[in-house]
Amino acid sequence: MGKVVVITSGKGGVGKTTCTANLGAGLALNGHSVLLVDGDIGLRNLDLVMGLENRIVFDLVDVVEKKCRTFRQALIKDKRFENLHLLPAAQSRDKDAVSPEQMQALCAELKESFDFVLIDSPAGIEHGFRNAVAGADEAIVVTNPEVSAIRDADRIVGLLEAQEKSNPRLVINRYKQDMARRGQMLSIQDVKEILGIELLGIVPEDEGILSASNKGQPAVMDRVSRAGEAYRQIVARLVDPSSPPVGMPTTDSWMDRLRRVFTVSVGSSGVH
Amino acid sequence: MFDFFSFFNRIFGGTREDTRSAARDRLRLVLVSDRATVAPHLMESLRNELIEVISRYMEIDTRSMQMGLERHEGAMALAANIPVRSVHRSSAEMAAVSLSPPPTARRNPDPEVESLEVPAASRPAEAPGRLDNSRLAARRRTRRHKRRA
Ligand SMILES: Nc1ncnc2c1ncn2[C@@H]1O[C@H](COP(=O)(O)OP(=O)(O)OP(=O)(O)O)[C@@H](O)[C@H]1O
Ligand SMILES: [Mg+2]
Repeated sequence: MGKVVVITSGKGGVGKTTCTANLGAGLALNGHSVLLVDGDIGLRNLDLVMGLENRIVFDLVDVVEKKCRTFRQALIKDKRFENLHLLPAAQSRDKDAVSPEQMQALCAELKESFDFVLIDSPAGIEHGFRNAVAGADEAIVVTNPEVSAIRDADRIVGLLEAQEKSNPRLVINRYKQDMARRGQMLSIQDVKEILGIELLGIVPEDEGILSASNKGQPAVMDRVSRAGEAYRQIVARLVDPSSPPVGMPTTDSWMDRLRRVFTVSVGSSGVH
Repeated sequence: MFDFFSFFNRIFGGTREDTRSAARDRLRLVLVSDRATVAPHLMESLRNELIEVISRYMEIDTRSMQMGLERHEGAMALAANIPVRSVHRSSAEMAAVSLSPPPTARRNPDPEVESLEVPAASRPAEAPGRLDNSRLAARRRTRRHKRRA
C-alpha cells in the first residue's frame, strides 16, 4: 500500500502545481508507480504542466459521483512513463462538488494501487484545501522566501496540525541565492526558524521552469536544469528519509557563469 | 552588456539596504499575533490557568481582568492587567520565609485595587516551538491600573 502526499501552500502561485508535476515525474523516473491528483477543482492546471491536456474524458468529480465505472477510467496515462498517471480536476464544477469525506474514501482506494498518490492542492484555506488534505497521510508545504507566502504557510501548518496531519515538510521555492547573499532576501535559516518545520528541499529560481511548462515537460527530466536537480534531491529524500539532508543549493561554478554570459550576449544581439 | 554601475556598487557599495532582517523581524512579530488570534482557545486557556495560579496567592477580580498581546516597539508583549483585591496572608508569610527580598514594587496610587501587570518578552532569541511564543517572562513589574467604568 502506498501513501498519499498533499502539496499545499496557503498563498497562490508559489509553485504547488510545478512541485507536484516534478515530484511525480521524478518518482516515476525512479521506478515508483505514481498517481497525480489535480485537487484544484474549477482551475485545472496540472494536466497542462504535465503535457497531458488533450486526453481528458472523465475527471475527479465524475469519479466521486460514479459517472464512470471505476476510477481507472478517468486516469490519463503519461506518454513518457508507464508508471505515471493523472487524475484531472473537473473544470466546470465548484470546489464543493466534492466533500472531504468523499476525498478521504477515494484516497484510501487510490493508495491501494499506487506507491505514491500526490495531490495538488488549490490555494487558500477553504473547502478546496480541506478536500485536498482530507485523505493525505503526509503534507508538503511549498513557500517562497517572501513575507506573505511565509505568513500563509504558517497558517497552513497550524491547520494541518489541527487536523493531525503531523510533521508537514517544507519546500522553499524560487530561492535566489545571490539576493540572499546580499542580505536582500530571507535566508534558508530564517525561513526554517520562523516556520519551525522540517526542510525537505530548496528549489532555486530558474527560468527553465517556464520553458518546462511551455513544453509540458517537468524540469526534473532535464539533466542540466538547476531546479530539476533540486527536485531530484527532494525525490530522493521522499523515498529515503536517510538520504543527505538539504544543503544550500550549490553555488554557481565559473562555467555556469560563463554559460550565462553567453546566453545573455546571444539574447541581446537578437539571435535566436 | 556588462553593468559597470552595479559592479562597482557591489564591490564598494554596501549602500544597498539589508531588507532581510526587516522581513525576518516583521514576520516574527506578525506570527505571534496570528497564531494567538487564530487559536482563541489558546488565550482562553492561558487566562484560566493564570487565574488559577494567581488565585493561590491573592484574590483577584477576574471580571475586570484584561489580557492580550500588545506590540511594544520591536517586540510583542503579553500584557495582563489583573486587579488585586487582597493578598492571602498565609501565602505572604510563606513567600517571606522562602524567598529573598521581592523585587521592588511601586505602590499603586489607586487605594482600592492594586494591579499586577505581567509583561512578557516576545520572541526569545532562540527559535521557539510552536504556540509557545507568548511565554510569560519571569520578570514582573507593577504598573498603574487603568480603571474602566
Ligand atoms: N523555481 C521556479 N523558478 C521560476 N519560476 C517558477 C518556479 N516555480 C514556479 N515558477 C512559476 O511560478 C508560477 C506559478 O507556479 P504554479 O502554477 O506551480 O503555482 P501554484 O502554487 O500551483 O499556483 P496556484 O495557487 O494558482 O495553483 C508559474 O508561472 C511557474 O512557472
Ligand atoms: Mg496550482
